Amino acid sequence: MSPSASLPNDVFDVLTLAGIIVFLITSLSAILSSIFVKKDNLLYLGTQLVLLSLFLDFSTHWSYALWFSPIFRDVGQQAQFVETLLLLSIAYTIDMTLKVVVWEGVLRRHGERSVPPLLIGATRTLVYLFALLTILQFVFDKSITALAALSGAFALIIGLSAQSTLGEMFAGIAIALSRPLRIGDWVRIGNLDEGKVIDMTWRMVRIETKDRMVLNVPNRSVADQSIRNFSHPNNTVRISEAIYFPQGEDPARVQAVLTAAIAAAEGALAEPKPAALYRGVKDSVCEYTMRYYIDDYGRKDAVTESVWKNVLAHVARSPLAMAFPRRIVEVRGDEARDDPPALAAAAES
Amino acid sequence: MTALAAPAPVAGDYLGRRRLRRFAGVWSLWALGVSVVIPGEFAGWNYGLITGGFGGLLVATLVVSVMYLCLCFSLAEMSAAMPFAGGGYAFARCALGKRAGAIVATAQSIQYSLSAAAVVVSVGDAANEIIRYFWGIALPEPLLWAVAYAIFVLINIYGIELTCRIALLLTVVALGVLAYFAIVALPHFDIRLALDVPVTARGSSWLPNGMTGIAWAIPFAVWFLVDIEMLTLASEETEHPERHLPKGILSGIATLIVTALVVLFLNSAVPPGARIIGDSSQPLLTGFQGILGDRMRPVLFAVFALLSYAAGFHAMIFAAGRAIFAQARAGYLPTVLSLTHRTRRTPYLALIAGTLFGYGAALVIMLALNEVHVDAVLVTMAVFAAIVSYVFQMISFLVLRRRAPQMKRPFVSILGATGAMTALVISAAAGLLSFSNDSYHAGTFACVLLFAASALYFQLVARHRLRASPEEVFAAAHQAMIRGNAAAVPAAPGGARHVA
Repeated sequence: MSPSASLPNDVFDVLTLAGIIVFLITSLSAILSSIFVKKDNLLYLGTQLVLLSLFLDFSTHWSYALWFSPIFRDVGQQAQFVETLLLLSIAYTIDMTLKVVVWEGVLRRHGERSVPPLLIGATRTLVYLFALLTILQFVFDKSITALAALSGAFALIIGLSAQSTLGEMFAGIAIALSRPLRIGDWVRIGNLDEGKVIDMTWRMVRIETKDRMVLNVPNRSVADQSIRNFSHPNNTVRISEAIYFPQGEDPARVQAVLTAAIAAAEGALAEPKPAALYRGVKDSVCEYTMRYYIDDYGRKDAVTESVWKNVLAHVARSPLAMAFPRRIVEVRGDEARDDPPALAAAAES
Repeated sequence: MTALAAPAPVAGDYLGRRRLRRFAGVWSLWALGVSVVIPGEFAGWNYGLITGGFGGLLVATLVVSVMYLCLCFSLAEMSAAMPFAGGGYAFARCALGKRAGAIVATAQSIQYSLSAAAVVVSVGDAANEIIRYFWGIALPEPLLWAVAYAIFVLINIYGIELTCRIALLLTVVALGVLAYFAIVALPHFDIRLALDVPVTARGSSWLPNGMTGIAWAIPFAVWFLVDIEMLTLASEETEHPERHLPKGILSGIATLIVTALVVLFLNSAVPPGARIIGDSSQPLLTGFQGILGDRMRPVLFAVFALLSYAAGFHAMIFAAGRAIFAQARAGYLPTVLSLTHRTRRTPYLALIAGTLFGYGAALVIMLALNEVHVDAVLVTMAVFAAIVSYVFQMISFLVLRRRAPQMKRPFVSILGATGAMTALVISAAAGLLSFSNDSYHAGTFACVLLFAASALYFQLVARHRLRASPEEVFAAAHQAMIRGNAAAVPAAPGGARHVA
């Protein structure tokens, strides 16, 4: 066949030719801009290569004689090459899309940490493995049953032996997506001690408790239990403390003194307003609850101390006196007589 | 380049006397953009049918459309971030420094002044045809050119409002003529007619000159879309440039690509066939006559042609005025050229300067060089300047993406750096292809002389007298980010959109 006889000669072939030229140029440009400007352009490269190989695939019936006869043995071989290129570029595009949209997109923006490299590696391997198997089966007509079974068995072994590790990893991803806690938050997981999250890895969450101990909680356990978060989404926490005054004091007066005392305490927030609730008479004294808010859970104890000191000072300056709940336990004589050693013990103490 | 003197502080009311008025919205921009290109849809492209055949021109048109689409997306991003009257000059000045800014500013001024001069030659032809029809006489062409220039420069000086309205009117009329042609031509469409160009030994009926024919057709395919980028020069007359400019540029290029494909298919595949249409100086008229026979009066077409040329001429004068205005305002040309009218707020001296330059160039070529194809030489010079300006603007885009990713960008090109690189590669290739053609050498040489003169002026005079125009101030403010340590520069405040 002379070259001119194989020139594209209908509208579809001419458009295919235009597609090849355009996407050859854009692929080249994507490579150039990845080198000179920014690596992100590799995502563009993937899509351009997919389109280029699609158009090359459409063109095999004329492009072989025109361009590729010195390179390939026959049209079939060219078609195999082009289809391989197509599937590989699809795999590459998926890989790059995952990288830009998921690994460095959704997951990075949500959690502070990046995704475990192991997961990225495993996903990439799977994508390319799948592409390779598809190429072997559909492009080169090699049966991949044995290979697929082998890789299936391999995956099973890996999966079983790494079961717990994989479980931790996926729990970690779930935590990263649902965000019940972040690094720096004050939390309490289940019945564990409360503390500050200092690190989140693909296996565990690290919490530093108030006594400077570090708790390593496996991700699965974090995912299973209820989490109390004192810092997020709002960092305002209410603290309640009970205080008692003798019967007969005017509640309004007591409340005024208490709120003034709390308001002057360092660390207690002005807004939401602190309050002192009158809770009624219990054990022959009047019970009040002091309520105030703090915005830094780590300073809870310090603020509470400051509040109590202020309250004591304010009460001392006022005509009020604090009371303490008192319970009078009457010991009846009969029972005492029945059991002389117990009575003696009570007397001693 | 850092050794160059810093811009001189602006004394008193310097910028106040050089103010433009904001008026244009998306529709005005669309009209300006389409009108500046529309003469290319009427004539000029068709020679590509001979060099590349219908298939070759189709492929070339698609490649060129991709290039202009990429170019427009990149320009939309830069013009929204740097909405200054200097357009490409502002981008190159910011990204590449004063010398590159001077080159692009010169390129733009040459491109639009000479494009206008090239079109005024066609305006003269069409006007003479009408005059000959009614009065049987032919007027000297330089006189007609002067009249055409006078009319449209006056419209441009009168105000941006009138300029935009005239552009919109002429655009709608010109598109109407094309639409009418499309309706008339559609029943006569026969693809075999588009394929009757003689086939060489290397070719097929779709590609009569083989693959190389595609390359030769590219300069003609450029006709369909060239000059759309002038919209960046309307930045300081746009009401909300950061929103309206991208929309105006992109809607303009979309309209033009569709129009180009419609014209390419319908005007090539109608009687009398591509072989004759491809050689016609008025392909649309040839098409009309082929379809309607004698029912179509040539004078009617001369009126149509005159309107389309007028549309392009009008917008090119506008562009040349702004390019010279911005170049002079920053001090790359004598600053007096950038004075704007006290009440009209149009750069009247720049408009007149562009006119004198274009008119003078046309006269010189016609008289001194005794050149018959005055417009061909002018077009070559304009195309050379356009390619220089594309290359610099796309390099600017890439530099800004690389060095200043945190720069405030109200519009981000979805095609990214890859798009700009594509436009750069194709326009550089188109430039090389155009200038491997012998007939382009004279124009290129003349253009190079102009650039050399401008460089000399910059070196001896201008660089010591630069003024703090908005473009220069913006560039100076971003100097550290682009030249120096990018990390030391804080991100743009509030509402900044970072490039991913």
